[in-house]
Amino acid sequence: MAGRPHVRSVGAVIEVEELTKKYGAVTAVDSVSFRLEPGVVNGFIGPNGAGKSTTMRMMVGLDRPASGRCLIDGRPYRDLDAPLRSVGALLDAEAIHPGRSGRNHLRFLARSHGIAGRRADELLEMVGLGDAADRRVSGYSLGMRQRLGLAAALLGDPAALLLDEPANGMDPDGIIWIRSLLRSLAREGRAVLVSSHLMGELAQTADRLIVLGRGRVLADASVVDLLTRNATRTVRTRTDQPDRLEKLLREHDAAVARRPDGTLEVIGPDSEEVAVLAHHAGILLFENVTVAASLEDAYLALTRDHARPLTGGFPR
Amino acid sequence: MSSTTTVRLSLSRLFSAEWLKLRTLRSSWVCAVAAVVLPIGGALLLGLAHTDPDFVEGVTARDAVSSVLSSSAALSQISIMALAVLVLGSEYTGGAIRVTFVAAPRRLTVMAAKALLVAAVATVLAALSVGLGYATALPFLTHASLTGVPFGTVLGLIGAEIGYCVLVALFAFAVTLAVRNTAAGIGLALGAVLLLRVVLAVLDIWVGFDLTGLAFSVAATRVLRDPLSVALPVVLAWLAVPAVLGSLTLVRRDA
Repeated sequence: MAGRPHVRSVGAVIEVEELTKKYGAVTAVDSVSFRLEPGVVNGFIGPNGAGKSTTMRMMVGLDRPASGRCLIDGRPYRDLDAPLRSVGALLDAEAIHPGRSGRNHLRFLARSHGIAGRRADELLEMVGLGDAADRRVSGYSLGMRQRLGLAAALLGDPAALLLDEPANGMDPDGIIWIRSLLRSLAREGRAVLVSSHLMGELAQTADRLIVLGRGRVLADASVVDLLTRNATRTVRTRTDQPDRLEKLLREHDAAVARRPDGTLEVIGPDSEEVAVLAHHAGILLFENVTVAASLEDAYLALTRDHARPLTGGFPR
Repeated sequence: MSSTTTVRLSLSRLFSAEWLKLRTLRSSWVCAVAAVVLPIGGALLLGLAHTDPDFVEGVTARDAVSSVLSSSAALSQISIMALAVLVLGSEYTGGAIRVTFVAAPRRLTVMAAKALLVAAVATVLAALSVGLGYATALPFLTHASLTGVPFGTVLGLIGAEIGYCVLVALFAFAVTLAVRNTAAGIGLALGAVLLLRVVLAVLDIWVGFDLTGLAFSVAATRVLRDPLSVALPVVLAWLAVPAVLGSLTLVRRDA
């Protein structure tokens, strides 16, 4: 645990193999496969409706897949002797009986697995709900319910964690806390799968990213690999002859966009090549810098064509 | 560390967890208190009625005891059924059933633990309500000289009323398993137990055939008097149809 660091001698390997889920004619999850290794924080990211939650629900047996399977150390979830000791899951923070106190919510889960009641109290303190432990859950904010859900997920000291948008409803302090918690849980040797539709949430936490779009895995790679493969690096340059420079760059197969402030965004050549071309053409550059690619750019590049259309529009 | 701990999910652990769930909800205690207090009130009124000489004229001691016990069970059954529905329905209402199924993915075992709990709680509450109802009415029956029923007979009558309450509780639970909704569970269970008998009695007139024996409440009462009577398959059908339908839905559908 965060307050009592230890390194697990045995971690769970979770293998998701060709999981598919259909709702009538709609294929929500389409042959999704990936593998979760101990000690790694895996970000599970994709636009709304990409199939992240459905995949996670299938992993713990809540939803029945049309085909495919998920194995935890070689066994389906429903065949585990004590599921909470293998996998801790926070899938829906609202799915807690509002009339029960936070402490009793944890105590009944603990009792089902022969876990001592004091473990529930320790976890309530750890997630910051010690003072609210005996209050009914109906009085909890969404952030507090997320914390309670996290405590429930950690109750069995599991080897793997599946967390569906755990930072939803949390204040900035809570978001920072959860980031460090995820890192420390992975350091203890746990496999962590944490979903989000916001890359910013995962960029500082995940070691590996599984990108989902329209129910399919678009990428499954380390953060560095994803950046290298998918993010487009641009060069921002400023001159007193923007028209000439733009024409010159286009003649050399560069993509050029003019920004309102007059600077040019150049995709293709690197900053040195831009400088050399400008020098040979006698164009003076006032600014010529490489704009680092962000994970957000990489994610957007990957998912641009894979977001499910949602009903809605701009207010008129 | 957990990886070295050998703990298995078992029916007894799940029963214990379900018991903790039930007793940590305010609505459970409201139902439990109502299940005991209402019959005591009913028994008090019935006992007072037995002080009226006109009321007790021609009434035997056995009839009077039987009347007190059955009215206690009848008043208790409503709260017991509501409690049986809440054991499952309240988890479906807010989606908390998903937490339960993540912790215990073998759904039929979870339902078996809940059904056992319903039977156990119904037994205790029915015993308390019928027993206390009898104790409340006893001074009035004694005053009216309606005594002398052998203790064994009284125990038998009490046992039959407890058995009836357990059967209606299990029926209400099975209906909720089929409909997965608290309001529908309570409505259908109460309707089937309390109203169907009346509806069938009206239909009797039209068809010229005793249909009331098909009502759950009538069949359950007959079975408890004579377990091997023709009412047995009727009771089993009332229990099995919603239980089997609910179980099939449970294992086939998403939670």
